[in-house]
Amino acid sequence: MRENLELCPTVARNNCDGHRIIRMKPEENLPDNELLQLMRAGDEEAFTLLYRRRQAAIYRFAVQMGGSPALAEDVTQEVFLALIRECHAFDPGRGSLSAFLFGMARNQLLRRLQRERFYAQIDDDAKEDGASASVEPWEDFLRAEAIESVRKAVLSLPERYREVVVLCDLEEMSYVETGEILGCALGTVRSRLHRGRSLLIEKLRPTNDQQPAKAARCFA
Amino acid sequence: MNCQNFENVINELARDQIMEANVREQAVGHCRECESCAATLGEQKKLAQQLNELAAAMHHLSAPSRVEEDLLTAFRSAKVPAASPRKRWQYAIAASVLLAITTIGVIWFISAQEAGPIAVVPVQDSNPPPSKSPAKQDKEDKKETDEPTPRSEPKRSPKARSKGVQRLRNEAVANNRPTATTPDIEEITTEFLPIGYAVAANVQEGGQVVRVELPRYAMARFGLPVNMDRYDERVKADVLLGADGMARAIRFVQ
Repeated sequence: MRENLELCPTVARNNCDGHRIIRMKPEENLPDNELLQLMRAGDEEAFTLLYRRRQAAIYRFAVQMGGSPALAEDVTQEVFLALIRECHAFDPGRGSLSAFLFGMARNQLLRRLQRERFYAQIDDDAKEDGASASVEPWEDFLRAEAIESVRKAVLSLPERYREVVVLCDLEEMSYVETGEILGCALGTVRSRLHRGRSLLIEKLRPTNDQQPAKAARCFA
Repeated sequence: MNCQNFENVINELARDQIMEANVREQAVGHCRECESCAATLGEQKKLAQQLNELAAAMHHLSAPSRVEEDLLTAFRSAKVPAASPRKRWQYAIAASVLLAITTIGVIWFISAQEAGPIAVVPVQDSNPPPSKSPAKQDKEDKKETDEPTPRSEPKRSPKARSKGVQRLRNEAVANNRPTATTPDIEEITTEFLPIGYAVAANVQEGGQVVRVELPRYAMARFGLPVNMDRYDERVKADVLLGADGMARAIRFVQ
């Protein structure tokens, strides 16, 4: 009995009449689809759980794609607002909720990037985010510089390559998941990743190795 | 494995992705033989390491707490769960049925208002007078159309008016025609068809005839052929109401 209670935690509250309301609290390990169903029924806890589970990846994706925390914040908010308003638009038979959210984030980003002609901003906040505590300040500085150069290189990639590099390399998604989000075939993901990585190597080579760049291949 | 094949698997190899063991062995073997591919693999591995560092540095990033607060506020304001698609259909059907009923009611009310005592013809006598000869009937019709309606002539005495109404009523019952609301338009009607459990004997008892509009597909309920291309159009019909106000019979008018 005790185990059951622990498995199904409840939330006890007093309503305005002073009566005690005991309500089932959604479990944290519930799958996305079940949380979404609870959310559709108006369960705020379910929405909070779902948001906390998925927001970081969406936010990171937006930062890595757009380069701006402010933009990423807006995109994250828009994605989850859309989920609140149009939660019935999600069809579990067509893919995972994660892919659905990433797809919405991608659409938002592309729209904003095209509309605002957004250029990658490297602001101080982002630099501080990437820094970690280290005993050696010089090593710390060099590491931060290296990370920053990679970040700039990723941001300078064309969007079609950037999104694949971000999803596959930075978010560690499989080709299948990436293809689901981008709506393209697995082969397309592979070829774009290959080209994107080759472009990154070209961009990072002078700063890393101080070697003359080889004849650059045209990836346009 | 040649350089072309090696290039196909270099990403998986550099990123330590799952791949077939024999392919991996062949690729590693090719690297031992080909310096160029080995250098490329080294670059790819270095890039993978740099990207891993970038990913680790950004791993802790998450949206500010104010975003969650704003979203929760939005969620609370939109907390009434939206209707599921099935419920939406049910609501739509219910709304359309309600609209149809309201429309029929409004039409009936308007026709009752406009026609007054003429449109709604109370049938008192169950034995209508014998029908007249066609020539005589036409003559009388013409005479009647020449006469203004009682509503257009308010100064007319109530006695004369009731006399005219009585004559129209008798004609309507005798000819099995609705009324003189549109005397100049020739209407084609069906027979009075009993509604529900009403039998033909009850139909002969008389009552009030009310002109209504119905969807064309309602004709199908009475066994009449319906053109399915025009099933959602409206058709006119006369409903015979009994003394108790219940619909006894209906006939469709064209």
